[in-house]
Amino acid sequence: MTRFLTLLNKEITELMRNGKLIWLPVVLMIIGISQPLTSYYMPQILDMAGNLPEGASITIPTPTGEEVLSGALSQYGTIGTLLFALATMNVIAQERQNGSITLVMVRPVNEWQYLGSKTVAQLALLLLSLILSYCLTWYYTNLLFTPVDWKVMLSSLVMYCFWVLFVVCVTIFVGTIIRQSSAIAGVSLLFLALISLLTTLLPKFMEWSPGNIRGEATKLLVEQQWTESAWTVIGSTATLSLLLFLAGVMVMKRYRRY
Amino acid sequence: MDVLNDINWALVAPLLILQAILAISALVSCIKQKETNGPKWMWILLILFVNLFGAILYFVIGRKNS
Repeated sequence: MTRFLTLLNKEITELMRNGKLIWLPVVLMIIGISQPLTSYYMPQILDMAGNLPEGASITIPTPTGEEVLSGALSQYGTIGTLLFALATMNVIAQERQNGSITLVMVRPVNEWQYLGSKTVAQLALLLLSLILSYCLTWYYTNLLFTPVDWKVMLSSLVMYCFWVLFVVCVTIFVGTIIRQSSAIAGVSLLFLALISLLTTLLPKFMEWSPGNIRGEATKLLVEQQWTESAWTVIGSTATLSLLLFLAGVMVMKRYRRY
Repeated sequence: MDVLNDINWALVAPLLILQAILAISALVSCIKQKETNGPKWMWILLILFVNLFGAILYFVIGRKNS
C-alpha cells in the first residue's frame, strides 16, 4: 500500500510538472461555460455573423436549463473525449520511450501498483476537471436560463463520470500494448467511436453499452428520474473498465522488456 | 457597435480570464522549456494567435519531455 501511495505521489508530481493540472481543468471549464453563453447570446451572434436579408426574423425558442446542460454534456462527449484521450495517451508511452519504466520496475513494485497508480492519478485529474467544469456550467445555466435542481445536476454528473472512467481505462489499456503515443490516442478514440456508432446502429443489442451513458445522463436531466437502464449501463461500464484494467495488468506481466 | 454594449461583460469576463490563464501558463511553460518539438518561436506565435487550440496543442505535442 505504501508503495502504491509513493507511486501515486510520483504521478501527481508528474501531472504538476507537465502542466496537465492547469490546462485540462481550464480548457474543460472554457468548453463548459461557452455552452450556456453561446445559447444565451445566440440571437446577437446570428445578428452579427449571418447576412440575413432585411426584415428576416428568426425566433429561437429559449432553451430550458436542462437542455443547456445536456448540450454541455454533448460537448464533453466530443471535444471532451478527445481531450481526455490526448491527456491520458502518453502516461505509459513516455516512460517506455525514455526508459524510466525500467528504473521503476526493477524496484519491488508490481504491475498492479504501477498501473493502478497511473489510472488513479489520471482519473482523479479528469474527474476533478469535469466536476469543476460542470458545476460552473450549472451555475451559469441557473443564472441565464431556468434553474436546474442540484440533485438532478449531481446525478447526471455522476452518470457522466462513468464515461470518463471508461475512457481512461481504454486509453491506459491501449497504452500497455502500443508504444507510440499518437497511435495510442488514435486507437482508443477509434475504439470509443466504434462503440458509440454500434450503440446508435444496434440499439436493441447494445443496451449495456457505455456509449449509452450520455443518453442516459440526458434522460436523467430531462425526465429527472433514475431508470432501470441507467443501472444496467453503469454496471456494465464499471465491469468493462475493471476488465480492461485487469487485461492491462496481464499484458504488462508478459513484457519481456519494457 | 451597440451589439458590444449589449453584452453583459460580467458574464463573459470569466471566459476571458480562463483563456488568459491558459495562454499565460502555456507561454511561461514554453519559454522555460529548454527545447520544444519544433521551433520555439512558432509555438509562441501559435499560443498567442490561435485561440484555445494553440495552447492545447502546445501542451499535448509541443513539449519535449526529457
